[in-house]
Amino acid sequence: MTDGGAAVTGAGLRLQAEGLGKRFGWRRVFRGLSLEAERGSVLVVRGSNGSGKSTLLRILAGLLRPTEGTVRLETDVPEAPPGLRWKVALAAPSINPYASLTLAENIQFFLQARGAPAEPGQAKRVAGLVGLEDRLHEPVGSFSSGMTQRVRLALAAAAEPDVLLLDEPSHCLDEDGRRLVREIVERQACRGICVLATNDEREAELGARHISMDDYRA
Amino acid sequence: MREVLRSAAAVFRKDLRAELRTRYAVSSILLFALASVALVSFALRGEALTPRQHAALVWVVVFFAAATGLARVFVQEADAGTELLLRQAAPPEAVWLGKLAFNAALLAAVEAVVFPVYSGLMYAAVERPWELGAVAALGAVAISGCTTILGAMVARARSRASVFALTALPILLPALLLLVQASAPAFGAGGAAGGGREAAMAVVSYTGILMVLSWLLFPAVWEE
Amino acid sequence: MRMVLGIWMAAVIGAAFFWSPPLRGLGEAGRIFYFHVPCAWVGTLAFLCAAYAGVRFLGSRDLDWDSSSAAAAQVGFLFTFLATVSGAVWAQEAWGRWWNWDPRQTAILMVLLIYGAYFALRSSIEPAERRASISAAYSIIAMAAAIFLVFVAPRLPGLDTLHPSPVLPGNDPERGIEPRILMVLLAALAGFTGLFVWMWRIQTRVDRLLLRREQNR
Repeated sequence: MTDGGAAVTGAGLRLQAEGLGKRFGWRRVFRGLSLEAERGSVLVVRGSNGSGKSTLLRILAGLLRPTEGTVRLETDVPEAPPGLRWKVALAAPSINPYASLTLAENIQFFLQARGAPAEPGQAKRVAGLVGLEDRLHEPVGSFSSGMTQRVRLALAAAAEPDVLLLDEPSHCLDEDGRRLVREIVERQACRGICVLATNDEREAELGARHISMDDYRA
Repeated sequence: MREVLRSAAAVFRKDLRAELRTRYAVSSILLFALASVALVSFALRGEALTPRQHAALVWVVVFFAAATGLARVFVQEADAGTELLLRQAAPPEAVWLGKLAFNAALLAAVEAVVFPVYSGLMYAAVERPWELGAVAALGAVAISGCTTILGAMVARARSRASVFALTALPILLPALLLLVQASAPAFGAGGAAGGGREAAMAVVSYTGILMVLSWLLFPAVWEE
Repeated sequence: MRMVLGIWMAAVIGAAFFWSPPLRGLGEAGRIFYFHVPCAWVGTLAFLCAAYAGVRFLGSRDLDWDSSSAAAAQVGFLFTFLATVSGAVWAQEAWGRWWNWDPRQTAILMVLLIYGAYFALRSSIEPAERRASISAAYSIIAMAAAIFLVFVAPRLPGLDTLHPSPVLPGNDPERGIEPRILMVLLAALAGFTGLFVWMWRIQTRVDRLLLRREQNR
C-alpha cells in the first residue's frame, strides 16, 4: 500500500483505491475493488454481513494491509505528518475509547498523540460536537452504549481528517444521535471526504454514491 | 522525531493516568513479588547467604515480577478493544517508547518496595544503598527496554502469559546475569573493584543494542 | 548431492574413529568432540539462517520466506539439542559433572531456550501473516541476544569461578592442534553443514506445502 505524500498538485483532495483485495488465510473476503472520491463526496458502502465493509474501511484507514491493490490519498495539506494515517480517521463499533479515562482525557490523549497542540477548551468543544459537554469529566466506562458511540464519533471527527470513515455510525443511537451523525457527515462533506459503511436504509441516504461489497465477492 | 517524542509522552501519560486510577498492574505485580520474597525468606529461615546469592535471589524475584506484569500494557489494549484507537492516535515508535517508559516506571516502583523488603526479611546487609538503587534503576530500564516489544508480540496470542515469560527469559538472561554481577558489590561482595561497574556498562550496551532493534522491528510487530 | 553427502559423512565418521589420534587427556571418549562441535556449530548457524529468512520475509512479505525460517529453526533445534546432550556427556567424561555453567554450556542452553520460545510463539499465533511477522522479529532480537551472550559470557567471572574447565574445551590444550585432528574436525564441520543444508531444503519444501494447503482450503 502506498501512502499519499503531500502532493502539491493543486488537485485538491482525492482518494483513490485500485484493485483492492483482502484474504485472511484461506478465506477470501473481496477482490478487485476500485474506487475514487474527491472533496465533497459522501460514499456509502453497503453489503451483507461478512462481505467486508469493515475490512474495507480499515484498509482505507491505513490500519490493515490489503492482500492486493493500492490506496492513494492526494492532498494539498503539507503540514500534516507524512503518511496516510494522519489524514484519515475511522470510527467503528469495534474501536473503543479508554474506559478508565474521562471523556476529556480521551479527547486530549487522542488529539495530543496525533500532534495537535493542547488548547484550552478543546475537549469541551469536541464533546459539544456530540452533545456530551456535561459529561466531560466522567469516566467513559460509565457511559451507555449510545453515549459511547457518540464518543467514538467525536474522537474521529475531532481529528479533522481529510477522509472520515464511519462504520455503522448510527449503531446504538437514538433519534437525536442520528441527527448528530447527519450533521457530522454534512460537515465532513464540506471539508473533505466521508465514507460510510452501513446496512441501515436511513443511514444509506446520507450519501449519493453507493458501493456494494457483494459485487466484489471472490 | 520531536513529534514522536511528544506522542510517546501522551501515550505514557495516558497509561500512567489509567494505572493510577485502577492500580491494577502495580498491585498484582507487587503482591506477586512480595509473596516470592516471603516464600524465599520462609524457606531459608534466617540462613546466612553470601552477597552474590542475595543479588541473584533478588533479581530472580524481579524477573518473575516482570514476567507477570510487563505484557499488560499491550494485552490490556487488545482486550479492551482500544488497540485501533491507539494505532490511529500515535505512530508505532511513539507507542513503543511510551509503553517502554511506563513499564520502566512500573518496574522501578515495584523494585522500590521489593529491594528494601528483601533486605529486611532476609537480613541482607546493603553496604552501598545508593549504588544498589542505581543498579535497580538501570535494571528497570534494561528489562523494560528488552521486553516491551515482546508484550506487543503476545498481546493477541493464545496463552499469552506463559508465552511472554518463555520469550522473555532468553532475551533477559544476559542482562540478568550482568545485573547480578553489578549489584553484588552493593550487597557487600568483595572481589575485583570495578567489576560491578564493568557489568553495569555491559548492561547498558546490551540494552542499547536490543532497544535499537526493537525500535526498528516494532512497526512490523504492531501494524497489520 | 545426497550421494556425495552420504559418502563424505561416512568418511568423516571413519576418520573420527580410526584415523584421528585420541584427543590428549580425554582418551577415546574425546572422539565425541567430532560430533559435538559440529552440532553446536550447525545449531547456531541454523538460527542465523532462520533470522536471515525472517528479514527476507519482512522485506518481501512473501510467506515462503517464513516457511524457510521455520524450517531452519526446526532443523537447528534438533542439532542444538544434540549438541547440548553431547556436551553434557563430554563434560561428564572429562570433568566428572554433567553441567558446569561454564560460558559454552550456558550459551548453548540459551540457544536451546531461544528455540523453545520461538516455537512456543509460533504455535500460539494463528493468522499466518501475523505469525510470520512476529516470528521474524523475535528471531532477529533473539539472535542479537545470543550473539551478545556468546561473546560477553567468557568475560563474566561469575560464570567461571567454581570450575576447573580447561580454557577452550575443544581445543587441544597443548601448543597448537595436531594436524590430523584439525583436518577431521574441519571435514566434520563441512559434512554437518552439508547435512544441515540438505535437511533445511527438505523441511522448507514440506513447510511450504503445508502452508499452501492451509491457505487453499
